[in-house]
Amino acid sequence: MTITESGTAAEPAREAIELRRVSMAYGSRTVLQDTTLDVASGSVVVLIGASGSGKSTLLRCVAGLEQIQEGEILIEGTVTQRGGSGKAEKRALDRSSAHLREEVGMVFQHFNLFPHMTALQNVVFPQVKTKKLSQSVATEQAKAMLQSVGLGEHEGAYPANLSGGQQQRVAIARALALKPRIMLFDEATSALDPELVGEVLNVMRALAKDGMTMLVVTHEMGFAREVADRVVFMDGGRILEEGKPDVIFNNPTEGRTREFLARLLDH
Amino acid sequence: MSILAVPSATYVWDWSTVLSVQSLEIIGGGLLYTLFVSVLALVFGNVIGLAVASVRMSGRQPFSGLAYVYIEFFRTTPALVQLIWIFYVLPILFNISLGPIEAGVIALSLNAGAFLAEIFRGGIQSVPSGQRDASFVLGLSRPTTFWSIVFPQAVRSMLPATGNVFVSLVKDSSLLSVIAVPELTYQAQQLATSTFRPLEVYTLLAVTYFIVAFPLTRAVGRLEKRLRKSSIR
Ligand SMILES: Nc1ncnc2c1ncn2[C@@H]1O[C@H](COP(=O)(O)OP(=O)(O)OP(=O)(O)O)[C@@H](O)[C@H]1O
Ligand SMILES: [Mg+2]
Repeated sequence: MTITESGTAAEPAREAIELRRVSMAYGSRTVLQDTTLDVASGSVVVLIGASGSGKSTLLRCVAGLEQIQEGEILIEGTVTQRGGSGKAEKRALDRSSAHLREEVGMVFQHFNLFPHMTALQNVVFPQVKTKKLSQSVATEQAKAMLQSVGLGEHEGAYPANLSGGQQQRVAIARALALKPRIMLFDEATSALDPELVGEVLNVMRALAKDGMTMLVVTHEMGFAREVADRVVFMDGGRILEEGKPDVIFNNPTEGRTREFLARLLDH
Repeated sequence: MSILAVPSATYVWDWSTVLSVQSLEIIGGGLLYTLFVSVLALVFGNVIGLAVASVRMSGRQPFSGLAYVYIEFFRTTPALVQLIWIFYVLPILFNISLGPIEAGVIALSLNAGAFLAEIFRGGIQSVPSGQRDASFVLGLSRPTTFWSIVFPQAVRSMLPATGNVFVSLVKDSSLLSVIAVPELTYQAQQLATSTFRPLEVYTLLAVTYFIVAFPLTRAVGRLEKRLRKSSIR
């Protein structure tokens, strides 16, 4: 958030992600309401909020997994989704923004590794299919990727034979192998035993240090404090408050934020 | 004691004619037919089942509705009635000629296809939605997602049920004896008549089905156990 904020030069991808007045509903149940959010290139934004406040849904909309009803979503300055667009417009948008989907990687709470593939195959397969890399190049990169998340020795293992922390690191390696510029993390450590949380957070920390644009949903407030450029508090499908970590954590404006943080500390 | 009742306690079993090389050849030939039509019906049934299941899951009307009608019709009417209808009625309706083996394989395939369609649907729906989500964000195309990610996982969970369908096919193929397909049961009937030894022949018949089907059900059971273990993720 430092260089890009002050730079006035025509830097096309100043904002990596922009949500403009986005609303989204599952059937008649509105889950995101009039949400506006910017994530600058290279910055780390942490989303916090109670269960059901719409954090996952927001990430899923950015990833293109859910269709929005109102507003628009931009990735690196290009509209990827526009609420209320008809079939033809939607198809045109999909086409004009297809290359941007590859810029966005996502990591899920439950890893979602392909269970019938080894760790290595999990990382190789998308590279071959999406990036059209040759098997040998993809394998080489996958090995390096697994090495970098500390799993070089487990490349032949199937997900079922890996610990949760190892599985999540494979999932991160799988996403990173596609060389995305933006990474979405949806409670990447929530399904892990406490002693395994650290190894995954370490990988995420290193990624942030490397300048990756990250939009992170997490309950790890220590991580948020340390790594986030901005913390966004969501409540009932709306963004209630956002700011620098120390402001949000030490001196939040909204009563709801204070309540939420107090409840977290009780646990 | 009525003279009609076979004095069971005093019945003298005579296996010599039934277990002769000649008789066993007849039974063996029947067994080959049984396996042949069963395997064929399993293959066609799988193709039908997969096609019908995808049409049904597409939700596109009227095809999805038709698929539903097909599945339910073949699951709720007796296989014997389906067979007789296809052998006697269908050729007249469409002015075609069907040999007994063709009619038999068609009937068994359609019957198995209905059950397999539901097995496919269940198998595909049993794959967690997170697998599709991950495939999407990794940029995999829809066909790749289906054939390389969803389908292999669905098949694993479907294998036991498919094995059971095969066991049913082996047993149900005995129905083809009513339209004179020379499969196991039909051959046994012929042998019983020619040897005047129905008790021995039908006992051998039952044992033969058992010998074929039992290892299959055992294999299915083992498979189920293995899958249950490996699905603990
Ligand atoms: N597929 C769905 N169909 C219908 N409603 C859904 C669906 N997914 C989520 N919801 C609803 O949308 C609301 C927001 O869900 P979301 O998962 O975005 O919340 P969240 O902030 O991520 O919560 P958590 O901390 O529990 O993960 C919830 O009330 C949830 O019940
Ligand atoms: Mg969530």
